[in-house]
Parts: sequence; C-alpha cells; structure tokens
Amino acid sequence: MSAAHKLTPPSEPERGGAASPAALYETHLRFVWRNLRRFGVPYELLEDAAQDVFVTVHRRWESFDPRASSVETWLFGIAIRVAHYHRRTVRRRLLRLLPWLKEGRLHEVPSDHHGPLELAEKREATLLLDRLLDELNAKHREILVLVDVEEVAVPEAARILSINVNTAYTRLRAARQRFQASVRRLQAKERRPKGGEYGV
Amino acid sequence: MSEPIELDEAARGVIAAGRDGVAPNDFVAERLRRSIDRALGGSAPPPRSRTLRASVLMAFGAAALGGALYAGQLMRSVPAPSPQRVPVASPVSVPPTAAPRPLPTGDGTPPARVAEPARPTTKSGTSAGPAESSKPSRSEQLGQEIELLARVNAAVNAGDGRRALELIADYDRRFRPGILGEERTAASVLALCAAGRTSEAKAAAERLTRSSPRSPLLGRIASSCAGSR
Repeated sequence: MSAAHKLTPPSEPERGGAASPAALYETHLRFVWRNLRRFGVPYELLEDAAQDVFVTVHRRWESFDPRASSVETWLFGIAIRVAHYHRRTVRRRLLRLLPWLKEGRLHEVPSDHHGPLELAEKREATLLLDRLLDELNAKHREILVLVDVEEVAVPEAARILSINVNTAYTRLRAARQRFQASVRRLQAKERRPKGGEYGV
Repeated sequence: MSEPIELDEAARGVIAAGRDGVAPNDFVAERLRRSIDRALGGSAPPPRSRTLRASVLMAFGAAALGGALYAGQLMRSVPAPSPQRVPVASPVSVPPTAAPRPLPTGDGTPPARVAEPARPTTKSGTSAGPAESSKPSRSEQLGQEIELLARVNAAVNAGDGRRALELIADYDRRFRPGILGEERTAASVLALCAAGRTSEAKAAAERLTRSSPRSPLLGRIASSCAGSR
C-alpha cells in the first residue's frame, strides 16, 4: 500500500475539492456520518460503517474521477452500499441476538407528547427526522434523503442509486407520500388532548 | 413519468429542522481516524487539535448514557464483509471484568470476533507496551482514564455499586489526581449512590460543587441520590 493511502496530511493536488483521502475525512466525516444514519445504519454501528466508507475511499481514491462526479456523489454511492450491508446483514443478525434493542431505541426519539411542530431542540429534531425516515423502506428513504434532505437533483440521485430517472421520480413520489403520512400521524397525536385517555 | 408530489409545510419543516443530522464528537472522530489508519496498515497520525476537556466531557456524557453500551460492544464485534474489520476501541463499552467471549451468530457462521481496546500508540505509531514505555503520554493516560471511568459508569448503570467503587479505587491508585479528576469525583458520587452510601455520596457531591461550581456534571449529580430533591 502506498504511503499516499495512509491518513497522512494532505499532499496530493486538488481533486474534486479534496486533496487526499485524509483531507476528505476532515471535510466530509460529518457528511458521511449523518447520511449513514439517514440511510438506516443504527447508531451503534455508525462508527463501523464510517470506517468502512473511509477505508473504501482510500482504496478507491485512484479510481475516483472528479470530472465524472462530485466528491459528494461519489461518497453517497459508497455510503449507500455500506449502509445497505449494515442494514441487511449486521442489523438483522444482531437483532436476532438482541431483540430488546429494537425497542430500546425508542428512548432516543421524542416522546409522543411532543409533536413535530414543537420540537425546537435540534437534537430532537434530528432524531425525529431519523425516526420518520426509519419508517420508510430502504428505496424510499434513499431517494428522499438524497433529494429532499441533501437536496441532490433527481437525475443525479438516479445516477447515485443506479436507477433511471423515471424510476427515481416514481420512487420519490411514493417516498414523499409515505413520509408526509408519517408526519401527519405525528401531528394528529400532537393535537390529541394530553392525558385525555387517562381522564387527567 | 410519475410527477412527484410536493411535500407540505409540516414535512418540509421536519426535514429542515433535522437537516444537520447526527455528528460524531471529536473523541469518536479521532478514534475512528486511528481505526481507519490501522485498517489501512498505516500508523496512527498525531491527534487533531481539539478542546481536550470538551471532548472528554462528551465522551463521559456518552458513557453515562449507558443503555446500549454492551449492545454497542456486541455490535462492533461483527465483522464487515470488506474491508478488514479493525476492532474499534470504545471507552464506553468495555465490560468491567469478564473477558469478552465470541458470540454465536445464530446462522452457522463462525462466532464474531470481539473488539478489544486498541493498544495505545506512540507518536511514531508503534505499539507502546509496558516494556517500551513505563509512563504513558498525556493522551495515552487520558484514554486510559476515560476507559476506566466508562467502566465505572457501566458498573453504576448495572447497579453494581461495589464494583464501581473498586474501579474508582483503581483509578485513584493509577492516576490520582488524574486528568479527569472532576469526572472521577462525579463518578464516585454515582458509585456511592449505587452502593447505597447516600451520606457519603452527598459529601462527595458537595466537594464537587465547591471545587467545580460550574461543572456540567453537576446536573447529572443533581438527579442522583446526592441531589437536593
């Protein structure tokens, strides 16, 4: 392995906005981290998944062509594949071992006493978004995250997901409908009188 | 082509509010950087400049969460398909005493490798074993202190006050006054509470309040048995 592939200070010429994998780590760790979560990687696995992404970045750095795509597009592609693996394989296996974990995650999301419009706290807002994304299937959450959260153009999102543009639009429509339905359900809970069912 | 519907205001609001997303703290970012470097067969780079105390507090706070700590440890033990999985040293997930055991995967695959804490490295990136370096560097000591205090927290969260106090005593023997003296005192309050020694916990809490009146850890202490309520 060449020295250039190690996490050494940036020394290579600018390429796609990043001088080296190490520089990319500095500038895009947060980007990768938040999108791994949004693509469905559980919190406990984010560190492992991020490691997979950046090791892949190092190993494929020479093949990255900044003329063909932005560095973010390239990272999206890697992150989606890594997230896919972690979602399907690791999580499924571990949830079988730890069935309580799935329920345990609930403490990390806002309680039903707080509707989406009352969530001023940034962390809660983030958790709320994650929770709503968790309700979507993988295909829907990926297109919604790319287009509506990360504001990637639909044709670019289609390219990242290796689907044609028509499919991307169809998928986006369904994803938005489902996401919106989830938000409305939360709003309905918010409007429900607090403690009413207990006669308080 | 199916025209996508536009999201309504509430849905757009939820997305806008949560757009920043989750982010790793400095401690995790640094640990991850080292893990990546090891996976690539390189040496650990010098740590980034960061606010040491802030990072430690965040790590300590993360440790205090406790709920999914052991689960986190288990999860890290599952190998990834590619690239090579390098165990991630977690200061918040080391079981106090028992040696970690491989878990059955339940699907016939070999048991997962259990993550072990990373060995501290010197600036040149070589392993710093006891024979090579009798006195750890400040950053190495910090890592060791964090790990030990995380174990205290794990014991507290498990309701094992006696074990937590043993670990506090171990901390005192190895590090006192230590880089994380404030965190150690806070941990001792929680450990004493877990052990049912409320009056001693209150005395320790008072000491912490006097010595560090602006400590962010006081909020956690206030909700313990040493709190005023």
